[in-house]
Amino acid sequence: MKQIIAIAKFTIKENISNRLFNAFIGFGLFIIMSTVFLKEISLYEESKVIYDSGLFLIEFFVLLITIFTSATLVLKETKEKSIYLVLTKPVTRNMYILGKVLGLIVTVFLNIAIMGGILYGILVWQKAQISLEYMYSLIFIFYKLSLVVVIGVLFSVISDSVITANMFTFSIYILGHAIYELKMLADKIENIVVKSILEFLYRILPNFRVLNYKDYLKHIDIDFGKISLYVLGYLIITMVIINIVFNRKKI
Amino acid sequence: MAQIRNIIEVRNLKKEYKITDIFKRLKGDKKKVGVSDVSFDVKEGEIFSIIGLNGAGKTTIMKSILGLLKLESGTIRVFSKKKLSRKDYYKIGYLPEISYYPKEVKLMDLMQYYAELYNIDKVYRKKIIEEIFEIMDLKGRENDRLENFSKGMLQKVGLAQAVLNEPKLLFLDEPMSGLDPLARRMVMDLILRLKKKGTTIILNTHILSDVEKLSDRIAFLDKGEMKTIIDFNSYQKKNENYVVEIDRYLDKSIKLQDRYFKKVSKDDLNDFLNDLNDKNIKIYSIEKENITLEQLFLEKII
Repeated sequence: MKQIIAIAKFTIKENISNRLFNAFIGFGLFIIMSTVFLKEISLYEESKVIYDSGLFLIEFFVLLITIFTSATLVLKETKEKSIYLVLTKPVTRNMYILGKVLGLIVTVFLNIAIMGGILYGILVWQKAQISLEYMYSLIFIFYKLSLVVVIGVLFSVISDSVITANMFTFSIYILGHAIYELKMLADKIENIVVKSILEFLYRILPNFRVLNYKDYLKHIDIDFGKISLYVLGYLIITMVIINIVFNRKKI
Repeated sequence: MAQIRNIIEVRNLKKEYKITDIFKRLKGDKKKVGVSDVSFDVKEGEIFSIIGLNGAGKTTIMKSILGLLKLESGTIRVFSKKKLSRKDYYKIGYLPEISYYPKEVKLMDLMQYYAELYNIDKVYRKKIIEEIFEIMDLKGRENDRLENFSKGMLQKVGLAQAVLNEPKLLFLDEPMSGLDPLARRMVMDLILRLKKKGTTIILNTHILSDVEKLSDRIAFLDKGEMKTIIDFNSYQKKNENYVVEIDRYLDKSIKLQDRYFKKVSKDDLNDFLNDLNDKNIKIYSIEKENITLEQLFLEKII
């Protein structure tokens, strides 16, 4: 366990020291702060414009960072062989993956917390009404991006190219939002091969729609526990797959 | 006398690599031999060097022993075990041939990380890191980012992490690469100090003079095959030759200016000198011929 925590801590440290990562965060924070100016051009509910666009920007910027780091980190270490320096220490491959994923998920949490905190400050400054919904929105963004982490790491383990790993992770993020459309398409299509593929995707892709609190769910009664369990289950299953693949991978 | 146990036993090791170059594959070359039918033992406490040309399979052997590669056939026993457990890695140190480190991370953070992976106690960690930095001449650079380090400095970082856990078994793949003569001297001293402490060291290097000075036994590897393993000191003693400088030509002697030089083995030296005396041949000098590892390397490999 100590080794897993050490790997997680170092992953966070690596991300924090990364200039590109910091540039993204800095730019994201700047854009979020700039939402203040949106109220000048909005016709009504100025603070709601800041609220909605702020949450969208948090998800967007943290998503970009998350895809890049998760789909790159393991692949880069495998390609550069720096992974040898870890795997020749008392660390199993499973521990390595667990540590990396844990570190990345904590990084996502910290990013959302920082950006969410800044946005909260702006909203308070603008005397906006802030309810528990705001916290829920941030938690659901965190859930969604935690799933992006494991999907990114999965592609990082499967793929041999950073570009394809990033592209596939991003595609899954998009398709995960269009999961019901995929199902509808599958029901309409008669070609059995395409139908089966769409059905398969509908079953295996993460359902990001149920995690889209900021856009859809705030008007619906949601079972927070059930959704949390869904996220946890998806994380565990993906982690098991990653570990199976990674244990077979030639490094 | 107690028998020295084998810390590593390699039997009929075979490793092949898939060729990924599409043109070579079209020509029918699907696999490349990494090592074939390699067998050897490494004794506890010795410095065992593997020498060979580039691509001879030295790194493949090291990685196979460390459990980083899957073998086609053969067996490897380390600490008398067929498969290394996680606990065994507490006793192992490894310096890879090429090691990349996260360049934006500070040296101290990197060392702390590796120490944590070895589960080294916090208080002792500080002491051992300081001690290693002192030996490696890395003191004062603790808070520098690795991107500011030269190739030689990074090599020292690699060595530092390899000895952090005071390993019982140490693998060094090209440890002198990129080091200046002073740093090389320092690394040699470190290797000898570790040997004194009882560390078994497997050494891959191109620098034959270092191998000659450090090794107890040397394995010659050529195109994935183990040509021979020798104890260089014993080999030198066993194959001791003398060069006798004389004033006239004898069979197979070499002329250099107006003197002649004749090579004679240690066993034949007395008879030869008696013979010279009988023939009234003048002897100018007798010198022991030093066989260098380089000579032997060229003889065995090329």
